[in-house]
Amino acid sequence: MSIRATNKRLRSSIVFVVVVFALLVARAVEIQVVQGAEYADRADRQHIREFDTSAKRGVIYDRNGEELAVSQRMATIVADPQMVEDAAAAGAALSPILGVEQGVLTEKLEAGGRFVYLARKLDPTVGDQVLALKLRGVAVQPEEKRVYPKGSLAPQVLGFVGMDNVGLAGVETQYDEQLCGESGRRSIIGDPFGRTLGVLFDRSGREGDSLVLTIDEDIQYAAEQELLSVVEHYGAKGASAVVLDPRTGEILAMANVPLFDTNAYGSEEESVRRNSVVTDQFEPGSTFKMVVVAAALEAGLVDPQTTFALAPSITLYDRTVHESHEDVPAVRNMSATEILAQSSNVGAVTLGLEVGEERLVDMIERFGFTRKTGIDFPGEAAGYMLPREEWSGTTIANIPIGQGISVTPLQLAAAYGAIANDGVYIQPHLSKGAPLRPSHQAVSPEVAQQLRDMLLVTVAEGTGKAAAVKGYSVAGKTGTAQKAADSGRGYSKDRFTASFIGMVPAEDPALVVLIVVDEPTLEYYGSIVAAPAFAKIADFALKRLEIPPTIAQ
Amino acid sequence: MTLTLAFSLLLPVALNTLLVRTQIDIAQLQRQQDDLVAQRSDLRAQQATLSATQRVKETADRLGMVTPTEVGFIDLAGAALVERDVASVASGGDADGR
Repeated sequence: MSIRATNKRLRSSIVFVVVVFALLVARAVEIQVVQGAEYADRADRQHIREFDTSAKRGVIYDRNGEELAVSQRMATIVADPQMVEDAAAAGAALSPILGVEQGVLTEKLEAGGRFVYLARKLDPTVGDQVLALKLRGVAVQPEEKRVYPKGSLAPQVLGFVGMDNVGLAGVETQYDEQLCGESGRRSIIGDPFGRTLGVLFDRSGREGDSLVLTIDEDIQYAAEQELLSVVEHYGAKGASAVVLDPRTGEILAMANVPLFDTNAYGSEEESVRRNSVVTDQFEPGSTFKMVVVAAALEAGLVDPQTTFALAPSITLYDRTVHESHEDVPAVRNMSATEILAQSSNVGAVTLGLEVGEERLVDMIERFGFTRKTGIDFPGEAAGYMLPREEWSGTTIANIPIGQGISVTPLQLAAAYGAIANDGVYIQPHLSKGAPLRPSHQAVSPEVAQQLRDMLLVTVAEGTGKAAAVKGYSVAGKTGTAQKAADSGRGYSKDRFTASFIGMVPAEDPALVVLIVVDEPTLEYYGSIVAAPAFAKIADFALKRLEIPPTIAQ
Repeated sequence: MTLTLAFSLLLPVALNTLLVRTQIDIAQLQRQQDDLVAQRSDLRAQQATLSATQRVKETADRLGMVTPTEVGFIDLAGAALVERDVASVASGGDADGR
């Protein structure tokens, strides 16, 4: 072959290579410049995923820094149905891992749109298993889940959050704004199999603020265990308890039985989920006699020693009120202190008549009954009493013995809290560190002291003996109230609310404890059913708070 | 001219490759950070679960411990024992009643 022919071939080859290269360059220019934006857009849509990162919800602590509610990072499985090549196969592969029916998953994967949740808030190891499948169009996103590490402690108080971490009940909803924080936003480049290749931007959310409750985990637990024991022993429908620091209005325990695991809140019945202490009303019965005695003392109509001659019953129009026990003499001389200590119905009605409607209603309002306490908890009931202008002639015979009026356990505890706190009523609350709570003088310090002394006799010598706590002086009052009949008229003969409320140490009360037992069947007197539970809870709380004994043994 | 054009077109490719590699590294670190944050949350929840009064009580019961029936208080101001039965406290009774 001649040199000339060789050169010609070489030139042809060079021209060919240059032309091919030029074509490639032209194509590259077309792809990167002419159609670059379109391709980039298509690529972005396939590889870039943008989603909200749920804000970490604030921790809820008890008063001693014990975590009652925390958040945990979980794995949420999502998919882009347009990128899924074989929905049926993907559904079949995911079903056993996610624990979701194959048909449900396939249906979701065949749906339109570019985003679908397949399963939310699963264990992170499940997320790893899903990624290992390398399914095109299926990805794993982190999501926060609310966890209640103490299980069944104070479930009705804590409440719960929904799937989107929004508080739906209890303090979770009351303080939702504080706890929820702000969601972040993250944009990632992912491969088709859900793995993250790069992060385009990550705007961090704001973690929710924490919340410190006034609740003491140990006292709460002790109260709940005692209520469980009472409900089981007396065959009761349920029970509630409040432990209140009367000097500050702080609630140390707010217990309701039956209990349930807070982590399974959503699956429980509404009746069990209710925080009865705040949302349920009951006729207080004899625990309400304190109010009429307070009104009489405050008006200067009686002193603790003022004596009344009482018959076994008293009739007002068509209403006859009897003593609760039948073995009562024809005439009894009872002091105001004894009326309270022996829980005399006739004595309370007699005092009510002395006091009169106006002063009685005034005292009821001063103790905060018939209006919400304003506690930082949702759904509070206000209690109920007929407006005074609608009172019949016999209403004055009902109210002094705690009938014809309904109150919440919290209202009752707060009212006794005022007596314990030298007559100063302080709004009860659940959040520690909240601004100073509203307060007012319900009764004078002198009357509060007289009432404490009278209630001391109730426990020492009267119906509340079973509430005595070794080493401490206890002032308190028993209550046994018939429940309204199902017919709506009159009272049931066999359904009762047994209660006891007291304060300890009586000289300078640090605790007010209320026990309410709903429909006990074995026994129904507050002195038998509720008073011993008071003693146990108060004893535990006193030791827990390291309050030294006040009575030398 | 052609080579310059080719170089100018290939340069972004090379830079993108480098960028993607760096992003993968960042993503890995981010994932590590996420994992560590998640671990911290897990440990926190575990710690809270383990310190629950109910669990502590159950464990104590299993170990044969009992709540002291008598608790002694020492009045530091008066240097006197307010309530007797020091023995029960000294033998393991916990004054806070846990």
